Amino acid sequence: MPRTEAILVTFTLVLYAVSFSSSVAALAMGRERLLSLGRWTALCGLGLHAGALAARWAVSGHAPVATPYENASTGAWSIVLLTFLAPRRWRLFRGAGAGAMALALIILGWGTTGDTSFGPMAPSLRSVWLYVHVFFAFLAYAGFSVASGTALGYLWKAKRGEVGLLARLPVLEDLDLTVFRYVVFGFITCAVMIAAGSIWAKDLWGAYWSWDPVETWSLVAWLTYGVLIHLRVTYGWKGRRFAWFALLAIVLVIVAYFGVGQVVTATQHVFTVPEPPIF
Amino acid sequence: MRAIDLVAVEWREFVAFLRTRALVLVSILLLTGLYGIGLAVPQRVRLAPSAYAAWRASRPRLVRALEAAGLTDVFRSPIVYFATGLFFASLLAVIWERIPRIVRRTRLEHGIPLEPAALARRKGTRRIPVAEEEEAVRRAAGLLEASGYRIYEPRPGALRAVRFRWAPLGFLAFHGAFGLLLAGAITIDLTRYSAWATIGEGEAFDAASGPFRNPPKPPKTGAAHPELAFQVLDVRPERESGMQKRLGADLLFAGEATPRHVEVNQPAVLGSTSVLITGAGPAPLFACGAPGGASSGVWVKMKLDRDGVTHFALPECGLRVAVRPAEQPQRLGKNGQGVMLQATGAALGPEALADGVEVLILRAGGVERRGVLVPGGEMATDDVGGRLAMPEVRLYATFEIVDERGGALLWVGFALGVLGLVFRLVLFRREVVAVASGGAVLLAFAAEGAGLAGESSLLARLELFVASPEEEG
Ligand code: HEM
Repeated sequence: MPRTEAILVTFTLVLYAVSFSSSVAALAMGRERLLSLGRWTALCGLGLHAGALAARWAVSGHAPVATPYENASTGAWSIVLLTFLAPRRWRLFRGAGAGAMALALIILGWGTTGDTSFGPMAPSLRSVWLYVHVFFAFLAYAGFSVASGTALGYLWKAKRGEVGLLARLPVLEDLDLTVFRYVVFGFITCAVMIAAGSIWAKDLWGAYWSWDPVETWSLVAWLTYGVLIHLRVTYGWKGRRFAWFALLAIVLVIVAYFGVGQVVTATQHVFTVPEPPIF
Repeated sequence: MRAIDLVAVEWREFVAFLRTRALVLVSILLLTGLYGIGLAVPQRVRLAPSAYAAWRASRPRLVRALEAAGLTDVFRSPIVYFATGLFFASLLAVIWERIPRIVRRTRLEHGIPLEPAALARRKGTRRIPVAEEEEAVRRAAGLLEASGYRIYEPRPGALRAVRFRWAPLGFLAFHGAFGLLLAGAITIDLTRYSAWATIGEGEAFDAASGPFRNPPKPPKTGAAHPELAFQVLDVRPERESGMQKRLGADLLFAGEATPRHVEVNQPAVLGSTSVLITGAGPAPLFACGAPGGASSGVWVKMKLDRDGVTHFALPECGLRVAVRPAEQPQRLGKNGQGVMLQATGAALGPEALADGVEVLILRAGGVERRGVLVPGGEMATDDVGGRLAMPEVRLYATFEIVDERGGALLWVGFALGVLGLVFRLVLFRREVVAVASGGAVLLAFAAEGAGLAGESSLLARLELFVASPEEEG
């Protein structure tokens, strides 16, 4: 990892951790000041994180979307960014800030424990469609993450009522609408991600679609969110049921993001028939 | 009742069944679940035949049961075809029924009723007492127009304002896009030809005769292969700090005067045919000399996969040989992440043989002799003067040749689908109605999609403004 990036990432982690702790403390103690500290530290962290990504980009010569670490870092950054891009963003931060910061911390922290080195981009990754694909993937996954974080807030508040720190979350109706909006945002960006990936696959592998596990997994996740939107617009699902679905659907996204590689290796492992070595 | 009427009734009932919300959901869930099975159960097309056979041998009963249910080739199984058919039948039935309704929704005359009595009864209608009600409605029109609403005013004192009136068409665009994707997929399935070829520098390829790595897959309809022939002029893998950076080749196509350059991710496209480069490696020339004469030699395309061992024979000298680069290439995707992604375009240049080639001279009983050959060098193959030389190294590349139609339908489907979603879910139709009625203005709102929350400040302003113009600003 370049030195500048290493320093910036360290500070980012510290700021995200401060933001997370003060957001949780703000909710627990009801101090507006702590909430404000949470927001500002998250915003500063976001700025430093952007600097870290830019530093890496400058040194490696390619966008930070080529290795698991780079994807984790860009992914965590997108989650924090989306939390701030919300309409009436300060209000949203109250509801989803702590969850979003926790997620960003986990993802970035997990990324830094792996291989953070970089090299030239592999030939297979040299395509503008990769950038389109990955950009929308981050938006989609970040959108779904914020939706499920907000859904958690909704369910918590719906169960316990206006007591203690829950009274400080936005009203249930607002939380419900926010969940739906982020589901819609994730759904549309996920559609673009799948389309861009498919166009890229045609140039790289000669076929738009080959039922590769990663492709299939993304399609299944997208269809599941399609079912969720259907339930809302045709069956009028709102509130608790909708929030539960939005909360659970994120599992598919998490597997698509982290897990397919592991699942696929596992299966390939079982079915590999080694040839006896002759050398 | 005549038989034909009975059939008509049955048909109408069937179509009504196809339109039910529950069936729509069931058909989407069924497809999602079946695709999910494709992830959980190993798929025959995705496994090497030997690996599949090994799995079959290890769990014979389970695999046979899965095969009988079509689950080991689920994406082409009858149940997936049935689920897809159900999905599209249901989609068509719903779209067909909704077209008139949706077109009506794009018209300004359509929407919340403008009759005061009906409006007053409507849930959510607000009554704002004002002195000059018609004047207040006119003021509302001004504010709404300035905020991007189109105004419909059939009579003084009654207006309907609509924003994004075309948005409901997004439903048709998005759901109709599935039809385009299906048409594209069927066209591709019927017309697709694919072949793999491993070709050395200076060698030629012809779709009519090859050389092919495995038998080409002909299309289900039309000519057996595209008219395509080219010669590989040179292959250029590029590395940086020991890692691969690029892979390209120059190809001269039959009937063309200038060569075309192909790269990984940038295939040569000739009409509906594309030529993709997917890998490259060294192809040394091996020649043998025996006391009785010398062979002209064979160009051996060295394997890059697995353990990288390549076998070949030199019958003139009665030799069977196994070779591999002395320096083993870095194994790709060691943690399994992006194996397929990184492996595409993997290449070894001549530098891979800088440390030479490990050679085994094989006999029926096993290895007869071993050694290392560097470019230009030679080694003894027996004790009576036989030798094996590696005088020259050139490169080869693997190519995928694909010919298919229908891709344009997919592109249009993608674009239409995304546009439709944005229209219907982001720019959804919003409607405001203001009607003068007995010393008051009745205000009502409606929106499809994510609710009117985004417009709440406009609506609050509108209420104040209707009540008293001084409030504005
Ligand atoms: C059998 C196939 C399908 C049928 C019959 C169908 C039908 C419908 C209907 C009736 C609506 C409500 C429209 C309205 O009230 O304005 C709707 C909305 C929606 N559907 Fe579907 N749908 C199907 C498949 C899908 C699939 C596969 C997806 C995506 C995964 C999807 C995503 C959506 C979305 C996002 C909406 C909300 C936006 C809109 O109304 O266009 N649908 N669908």
